[in-house]
Amino acid sequence: MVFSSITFLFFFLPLTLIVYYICPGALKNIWLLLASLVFYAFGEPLYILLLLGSICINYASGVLIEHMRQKSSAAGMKLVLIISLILNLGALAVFKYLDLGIALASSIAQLFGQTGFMAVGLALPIGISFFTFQGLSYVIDVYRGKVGVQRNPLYFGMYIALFPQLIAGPIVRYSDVETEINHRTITADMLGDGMERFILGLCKKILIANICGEMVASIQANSSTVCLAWLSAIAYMLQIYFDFSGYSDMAIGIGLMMGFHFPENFLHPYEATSITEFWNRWHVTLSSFFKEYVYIPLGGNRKGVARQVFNLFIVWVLTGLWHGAGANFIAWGIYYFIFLVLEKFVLKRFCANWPRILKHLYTLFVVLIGWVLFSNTTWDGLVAQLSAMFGIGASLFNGASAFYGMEYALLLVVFAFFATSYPKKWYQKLPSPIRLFLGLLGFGLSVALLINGSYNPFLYFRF
Amino acid sequence: MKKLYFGLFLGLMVLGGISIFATGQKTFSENENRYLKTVSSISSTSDVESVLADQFPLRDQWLSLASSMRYACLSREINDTYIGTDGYLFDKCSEGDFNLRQYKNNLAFINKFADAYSVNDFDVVLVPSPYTILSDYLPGNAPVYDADAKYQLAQQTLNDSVVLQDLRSTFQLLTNSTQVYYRTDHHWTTRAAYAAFRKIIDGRSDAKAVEDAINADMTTVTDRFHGTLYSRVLLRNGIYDAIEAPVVSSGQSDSDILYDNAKLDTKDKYAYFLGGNIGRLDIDGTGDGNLLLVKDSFANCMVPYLAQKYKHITILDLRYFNENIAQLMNEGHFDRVMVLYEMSNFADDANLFKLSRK
Repeated sequence: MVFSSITFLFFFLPLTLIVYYICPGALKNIWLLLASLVFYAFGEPLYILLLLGSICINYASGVLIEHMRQKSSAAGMKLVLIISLILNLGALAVFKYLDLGIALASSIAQLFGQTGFMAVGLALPIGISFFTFQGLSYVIDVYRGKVGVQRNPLYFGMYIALFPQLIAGPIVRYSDVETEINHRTITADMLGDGMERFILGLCKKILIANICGEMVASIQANSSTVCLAWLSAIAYMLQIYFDFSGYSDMAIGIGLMMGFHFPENFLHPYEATSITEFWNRWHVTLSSFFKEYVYIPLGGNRKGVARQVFNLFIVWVLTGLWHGAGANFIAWGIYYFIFLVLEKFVLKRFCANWPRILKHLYTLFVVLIGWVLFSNTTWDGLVAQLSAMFGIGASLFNGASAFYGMEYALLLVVFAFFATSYPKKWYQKLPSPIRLFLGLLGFGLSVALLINGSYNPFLYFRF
Repeated sequence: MKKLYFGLFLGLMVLGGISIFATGQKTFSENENRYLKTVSSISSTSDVESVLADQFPLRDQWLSLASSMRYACLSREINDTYIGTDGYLFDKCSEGDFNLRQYKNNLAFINKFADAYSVNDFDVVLVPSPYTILSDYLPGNAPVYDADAKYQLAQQTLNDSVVLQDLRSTFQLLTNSTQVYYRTDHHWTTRAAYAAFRKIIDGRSDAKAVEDAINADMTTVTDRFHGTLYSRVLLRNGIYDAIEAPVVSSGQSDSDILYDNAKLDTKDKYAYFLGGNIGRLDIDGTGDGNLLLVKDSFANCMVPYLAQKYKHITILDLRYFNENIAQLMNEGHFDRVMVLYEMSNFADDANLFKLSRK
């Protein structure tokens, strides 16, 4: 089930919230677990077993690691941790990366004149990347002694399956919500702020991201010109931001209404003045997960420059892979690795004195080209879009460019403005009745577009 | 205020959920001319969302709101429909949308058909798409398919025994004096159909055919017609179309079949002609000879004129026709075959293979 659906907005969410508020203390978590399982099963009736399996394995791992600790068996603790890592990552590998591996093996086999292998074609379980990482954060932190073990399996299941962030993040680490799992309070402010955050996220998703998505689709259906190729790339860049950050806003908002404080995930990333800064603002919970659980354990920057570059390389290949099982995603990760290393060791001194506007343009350009890499799953598509953007074999302008320019350019400028931090600052200064009115307007228009649109694609199912 | 914000939206969500079922199940949407999905059609969780969207209270009003918002944001392409000037709506078909492969296949099917049965007169009428004639009414620079190239291709592909009827020059002339296409619907007007009839069947010149069409005696059967394109965008601008019909001469035998008055009280008013689309329809006319008409719905409003010209007309709508065509051809003794489709419909239709079925 997605948040931007009538099923969720008018049935699942109100029902879940009302019963949640009625439930006495101890039952709240159990109700949340039930509701979350229904939420997941609604879209993935079969893969619910996978989610339950993940809960069981990580729950048992936590308890066993704690048991080994009591027996002061460091080796035992390590063994449980390793088995747990293998099971978690193994499931992820099978369900997400098996076909990529098979395709790779096939091409190698074909190099040696052998026949290739058949793809298995397993459907990707929704949210597997998210709940696997949440489980890992728990097991690793229990091992490190950073969080206490959760002995109540229902509470633990509730943490893994918690529906607000189950399928599109943010990645909520166990340590983020450890105390709130057992005890949380809900104030009137949290209810109001949470609902407001949810409504704004819904508007971002439906009123901006979906419309950008339509733009991309209708531009791509036309013969390409330089202008159209740029227009489509910019529309995609805005779509992916508003889609993902809107979803995070909705998750954070629902969390607040139920007493959870989830970490922020997007801090106006397109305002960044360098790629390094961009990644401190984009999908923050993912970057910090990799930093905490991969980069630092590998030695971070403490073992010399060569090792640091290698560590960064590993992190960015993994970041690319996490976004999807495809060569384009790996290339996208390595692309960022190159810019981050360049910035760290070369550009830092070189661009320090650039005017601010130039830094913005540099960052936006690199990110834009990054999304072109990201969005084209085939080599031919990538070459076609890049060559169109840079005028190779494509004319600058035609009738269709004029039409879509009229249709979309102005809206894209408005949307781009909404990606900055100004609208938020102004919005927060508005008197509450006006904010309420804006919320009602946005909600109404969102419902109208939902009913109008079979067009409600969701970009994040691949993760 | 925070409590109010929370309470209000939670209330709206509950209210919305209840009202979907409190208002009773609706089974048919006149506006969209389709059956709505109901609770009983749910067979898996993936059906739920579409049922709820179909059953949402004030569905048409929400759709209308969505379109108005898009229009206010300067969008002139809403739900695959171009919003033209002077109230004209156009079914979008850009070069990329035009199904060139099917188009070529269909031309080949016609060639095969013409080869298989020798008929004296064999016409293929590819009615110009509205924007081919009304390009001035399109939103500026809206991408549409290249009609010149399509007619040229048809001319090159079709056998010599088949006459391709190109109505573009006729309609260019006609559009100066009268409405050729409906504003809110994808069909042509009865006057346009009559001009085409005079040109193709009676062999009149463009100027004469147009003059006849302008002067033709017609009655307006309704002036409250909101067609299919209106339903797609639901922009409420108060513009309606009028449907005209030939003044029925007293001698005409089959007016019950030619016109379905009851349809004028429904949303789907164009179905006044022939009562809609039927796989095979046989009409006895007042003229001479036998005509086979293979057509889409554009032909429906031309049939009354054809019925004055021919003694017997067999009308096939291949979408719904599944009989043996060979037998029909052998027994029908047709003097003339006319294949009549609107150009983009023709390129989309995947049923012309039925012409080559033995």
